[in-house]
Amino acid sequence: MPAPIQPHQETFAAAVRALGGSVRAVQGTSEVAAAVEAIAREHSESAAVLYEPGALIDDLGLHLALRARGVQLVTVESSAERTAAFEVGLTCAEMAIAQSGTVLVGGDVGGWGLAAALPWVHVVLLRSSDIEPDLATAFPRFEQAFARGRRNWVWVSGPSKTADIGMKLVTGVHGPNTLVVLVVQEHVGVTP
Amino acid sequence: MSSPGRDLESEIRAALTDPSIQQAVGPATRAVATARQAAVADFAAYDAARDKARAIKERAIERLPELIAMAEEAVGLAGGTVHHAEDAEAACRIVADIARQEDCRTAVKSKSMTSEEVGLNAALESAGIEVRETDLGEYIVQLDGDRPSHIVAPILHKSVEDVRQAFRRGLDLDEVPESAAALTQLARRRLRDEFLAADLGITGANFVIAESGTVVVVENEGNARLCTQVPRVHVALAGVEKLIPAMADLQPFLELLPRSATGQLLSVYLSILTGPGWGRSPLVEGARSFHLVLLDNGRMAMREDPVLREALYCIRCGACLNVCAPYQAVGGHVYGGPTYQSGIGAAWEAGVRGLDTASEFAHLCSACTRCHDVCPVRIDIPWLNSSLRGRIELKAGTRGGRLGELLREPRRLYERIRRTPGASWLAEFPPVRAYLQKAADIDRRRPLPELAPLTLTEWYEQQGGSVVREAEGGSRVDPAPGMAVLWADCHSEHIEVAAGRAAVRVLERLGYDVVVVTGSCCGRAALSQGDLPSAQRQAASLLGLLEPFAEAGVPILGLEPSCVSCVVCEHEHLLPDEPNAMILAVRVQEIFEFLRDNAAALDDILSCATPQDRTVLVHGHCQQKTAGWYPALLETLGRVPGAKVQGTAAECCGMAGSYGYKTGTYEISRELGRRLVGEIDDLAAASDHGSCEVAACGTSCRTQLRELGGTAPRHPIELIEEASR
Repeated sequence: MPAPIQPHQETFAAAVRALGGSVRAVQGTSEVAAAVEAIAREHSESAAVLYEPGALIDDLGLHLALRARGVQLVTVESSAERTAAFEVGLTCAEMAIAQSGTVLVGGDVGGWGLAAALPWVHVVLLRSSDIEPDLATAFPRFEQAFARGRRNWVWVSGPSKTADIGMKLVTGVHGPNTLVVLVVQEHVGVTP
Repeated sequence: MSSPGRDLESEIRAALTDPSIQQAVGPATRAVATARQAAVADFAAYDAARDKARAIKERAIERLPELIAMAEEAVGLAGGTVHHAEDAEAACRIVADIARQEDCRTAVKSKSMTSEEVGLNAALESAGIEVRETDLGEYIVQLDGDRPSHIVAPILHKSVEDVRQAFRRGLDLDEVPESAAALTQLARRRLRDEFLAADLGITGANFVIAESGTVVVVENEGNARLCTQVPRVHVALAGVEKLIPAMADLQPFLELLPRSATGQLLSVYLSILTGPGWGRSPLVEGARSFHLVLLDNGRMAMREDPVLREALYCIRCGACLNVCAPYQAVGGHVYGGPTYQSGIGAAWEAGVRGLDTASEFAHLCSACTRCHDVCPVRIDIPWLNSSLRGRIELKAGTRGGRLGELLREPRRLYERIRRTPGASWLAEFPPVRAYLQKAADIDRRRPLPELAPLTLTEWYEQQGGSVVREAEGGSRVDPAPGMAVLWADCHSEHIEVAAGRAAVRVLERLGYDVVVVTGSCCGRAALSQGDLPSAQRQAASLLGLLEPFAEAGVPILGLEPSCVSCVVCEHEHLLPDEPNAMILAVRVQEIFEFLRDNAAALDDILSCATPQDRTVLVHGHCQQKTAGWYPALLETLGRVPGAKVQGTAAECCGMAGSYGYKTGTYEISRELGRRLVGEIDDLAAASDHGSCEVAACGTSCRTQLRELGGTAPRHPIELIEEASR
């Protein structure tokens, strides 16, 4: 059965691309793992990924699937002296805003901010059903999550950028130069 | 106006001949202003969001002491500490003490104008703490020993070559990369090591949520992410005005700030941080800590000040700087104080440093009002500036004696010249010009306006028309149905009477009984020179003259946008206790608004004309654009058969009434005029038709174009009149 595209997914993908990021629709554990592996091998000699624990990673059983593919998945907390040496970071988004191409990454434990800030490549996992059309619809949902106790967030819209020097747009200033959002389609292998 | 501390005229001259400023500032501000325009045009709820944001800010400032207490409690509950800094010195001392107590030796810092305001870097350095600016622009500013010239884009004034020089000198390099991308990567590599080594991360805050003690930071580069996530200690320094009550209040600001600042829907990173956040970072030994320093430094006094309170609503988007014509000409080092720039900068400098600092540059505002139009929280920056200049004038004592007074009331000046035989001829005599420059700051390089041989009302009387003049008591005319009042402002009455004659003819052809009314100046000239008492007196006098017509519902039509907008937009400020000022504001219209509302009748009188194919290049008057009347002008002119109407992009011609005559601003005025002429020449060269007609509603705009461009611009009503014969 082909994965039905969620109504706002195309808008979201177009917005992220316009910002210089990329979006891939993936379905099921093996597709997600294959996508992460390809990125890890492209950017990291040791195929190592710095990550933040997240429900989607657990639900997909990504640890085992990636280990089987020879990809090291290292939590920020256990990364010791290597934290800043990773080329690829992986986080899970709680939701996204289609219109602006924004992913909302929230967390409270561990060094949740670092996997989205330090590496050259930031990979974000997002459920297709978590894409809201615009800020007006996303904000109340965000606010609820905030009120429930998720008090620390980073909203990411595209790769790190600046136009400070001569008005030339440059990416990869201090944060990731490459942003890849893997939109996990809501069927096979995902427990809703 | 000169100031003890700065030689602003020299600064202006230097900026106008500085190739970097001239090449960098204009295009950069215009590009960002265009991006903002596109972003808000696409946002259907823009005005609703502005209203919400404005209401939240008003309420937050009202409740500020309560919000400060709430934030203190919430930050404490989240595991952080709030510190209260009464002034700049206290803020520096508090941050240095935190660093000492937390045993921090090196600090990384993200962009914060508030830290610039208090001089934090110098204070920390002298306390033995190394501070590294990490925003790319601020890093370059720090390498170069420079200072930011724009609250959002700190090195807007620098060319790529300037940046390369800064790297070469600041990092002592022999080879410096050429491209912006390679320079940026060089900075990334250098700064990454400093992030990882730093003990202390310092940020500002775009918003602070009182209820939860949450700090919100908006940025694009990711350096604020690293400043807040990598070091052991995070200090956020925020002015108390950054407090908003609850997380729910953040939404309209997120919708407005990135759009207004850069034309983005959202910034690349939005950090929402509550307390130290997390305890077990692999990069840090032991627990992390978080400190929020809430800065007063004049803000609580601004809150008590009915004028400066407005400035506290500012969300520092920089949109007002980007559309500011004088800013575009000279940049923020010249048109700005030690920390804050342009129009809103004068209010902020007045609030945090005092009136004397603001007085050094406040007069560079040309009162074009474009900033009011783009402000996401609807701050009336022009009015703020007029009020500030009123205070500055009051403190300095009125200059120029009786001549100065005359300059603040154009009608009296023109009448005086008319009554003095040979005055016009004498005025151009060099010793007289020298005297005028010395006594009244009228730059001798600017030709003086020439009076028309017959005033508009004299001409109309000769035609047998009805005229009402205030000065002589005039012949009384009672309002009647089918009547239209053409209000002859000082300039339409005395200087360029062709527009008034054309307007009379057009209104007559539309079937109206036209009465030409002239009287007191509207107050614009006095207002723009900071003479509020005179402006109020003139406004009251004009109100007395026009109110019988306004009350009877007779349309009152004006030709000069700066005068019409003074009545419609400023009289409510000038005459707050006059209910009829509101009635007048409703009845007085720019003539093109009226013609648009009578489009069918206008089409009738235009239908007899033989279509004449041509391009009409229109320069919209700055205050006309702010008031929202410009579309009516374009639409009405577009009804002229054969006319292809095209508008200029320039925000303001730079003449702005007395601005273009005053010694202190003449050169900025001329530069802005030169740019407008350049734009018009380019548009004309690219047009489909060999001949282009140039039209502008403002007397100032036409003066500027005539003197600098050698063209003969007309008032657009003259084109309508010609096409309706």
